[in-house]
Amino acid sequence: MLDGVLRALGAVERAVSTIAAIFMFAIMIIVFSDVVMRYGFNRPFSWAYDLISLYLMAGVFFLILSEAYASHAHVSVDILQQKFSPVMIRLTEIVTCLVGIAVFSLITYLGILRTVESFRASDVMAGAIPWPMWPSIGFVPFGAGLITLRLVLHCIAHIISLATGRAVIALPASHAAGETFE
Amino acid sequence: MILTLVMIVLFVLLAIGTPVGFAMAGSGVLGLYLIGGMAMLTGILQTAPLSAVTSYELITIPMFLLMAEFVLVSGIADDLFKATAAWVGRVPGGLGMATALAGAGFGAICGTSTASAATLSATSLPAMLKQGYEPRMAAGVVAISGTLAMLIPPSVALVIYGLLAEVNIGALLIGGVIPGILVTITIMATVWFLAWRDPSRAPPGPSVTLYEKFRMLKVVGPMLLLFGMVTGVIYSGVATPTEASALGAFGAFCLALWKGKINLQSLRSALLRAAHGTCMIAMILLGASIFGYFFTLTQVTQNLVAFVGGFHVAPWVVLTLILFGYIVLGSFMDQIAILVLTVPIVLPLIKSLGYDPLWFGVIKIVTAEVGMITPPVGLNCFVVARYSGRPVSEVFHGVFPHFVAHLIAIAILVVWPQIILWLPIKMGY
Repeated sequence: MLDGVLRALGAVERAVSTIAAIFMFAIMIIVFSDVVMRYGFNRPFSWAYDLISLYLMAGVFFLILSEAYASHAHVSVDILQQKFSPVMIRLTEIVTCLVGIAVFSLITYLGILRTVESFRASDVMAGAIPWPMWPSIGFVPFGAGLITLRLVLHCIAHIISLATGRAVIALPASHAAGETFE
Repeated sequence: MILTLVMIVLFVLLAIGTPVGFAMAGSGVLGLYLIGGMAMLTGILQTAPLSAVTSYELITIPMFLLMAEFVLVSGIADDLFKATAAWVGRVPGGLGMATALAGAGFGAICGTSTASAATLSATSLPAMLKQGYEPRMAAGVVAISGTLAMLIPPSVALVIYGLLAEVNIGALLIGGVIPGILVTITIMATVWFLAWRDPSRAPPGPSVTLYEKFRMLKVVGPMLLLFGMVTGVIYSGVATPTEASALGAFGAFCLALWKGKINLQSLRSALLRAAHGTCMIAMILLGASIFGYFFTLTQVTQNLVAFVGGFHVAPWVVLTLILFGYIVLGSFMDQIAILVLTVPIVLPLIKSLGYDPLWFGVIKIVTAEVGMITPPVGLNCFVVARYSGRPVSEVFHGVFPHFVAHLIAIAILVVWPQIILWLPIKMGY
């Protein structure tokens, strides 16, 4: 049951993280073209700035937030954790999940309210092109909601692992062994 | 009281391995709730998540990360070391110096030091070992040369400092150029010194014909072009750092394409890795922004500045203590986390002592380089150990002479601030 839900969530995360990767590529192409158009033809894109900061950057972050957590891309100070016993590591992971759940569920809830409100009021960006605000605001509850779900599942999986002694979910690896960006 | 409680929660969470961004967001939420109740908390949580990740200048970070990924995909870094080795390989400690030069060259087109250390481990370390270098000396010079990437523009770490400290990011990046050269020379001098003390540590490399030497220089062309596309356009003011970062990413993409290394698989993995890095950094910035609201409300920074001001000690004493604290922090904490946690507190103090924030940013990054190689955590040593299959303790041993040399370099930068500020002032900082 838990496995099935985790697999389904993983599939959703992979799909939306691919969209985030496409957004990433789009940012590169748009900013590059904008510079070329400005210096080469004196015709910069008036829409580039808003499109990128309103939708694409928000998209990159919130669409990959949960998948990045699942891939252990969020950096932590794990020097002490690596010295703990497996049981203790699971307990610390549960604390981490609970903290994350508290923060992200609140962000999700408030984000939904704000998205609905913005949609109803037909909020638009003040400027040359009246970009609708709600899709940008909507990324927040979508991404935060996805990671809340991921954290709830991890929390349950760690509790089951502790209770049954069977590793339903693997222990986190040391971050010296994972992806790093400095 | 609330402040103490929240700080304890923050440090406990950090200590048990909660991701840095989560720990800061969690303790910040707790602090805001304790001070202002649910009303204040909801007000901040409604807007903070979106506004923390949609600043236009933040685009610089994903673009620099993407540039680094495409540079790695292109394989240009391998040729870079071969070229520097051909030119300086025959002098005492030549391959070690070539590693430092390749590290500087790679740093000029790549903004993350772990990417640089990984690349150098794969290219220069095997070459030095094959030449009969003492393994610990070879591993040490690779670990330290990798850190040059966070100082020489493009630099993700400098951009993060700029965002936090609200310093002109273009000027800040340019401020890293001359210290980068100085540190490169420091590393080369240390290698020369080690080889002079015991020549058996570092046998000379194979001789290369003059024709070969010039043939290998062809790698320098694309490298200089990429460097010009980023640092050149920032310095000349042609484009903003944000635009320059996208130019750099696009240039690196074209380079990888030209080298025939781009396919759907490598493109997807480069984009995803860069997106992961962006997400990790943005999450820390989001956590810091939530925590920052709480911190501002407690007025702890003003109190600290007043407190230190009451001591009547010379500014350089305070500065030395701060830098020493940074090296200690760097020995067990992630550099981005250190920046985010400390800059909001330390910077007002630094300004009140009369120091320049841009200058301090560059000094901070050089100090962070030292942190990247200090046990027990020094990330670059782990990267080198992992890629080379050598024990971490050996890498830490080998890097120790560079640790000492770096402290001297920091002292030089502190005593002569013009070394850092000269280029930024020329461009109008």
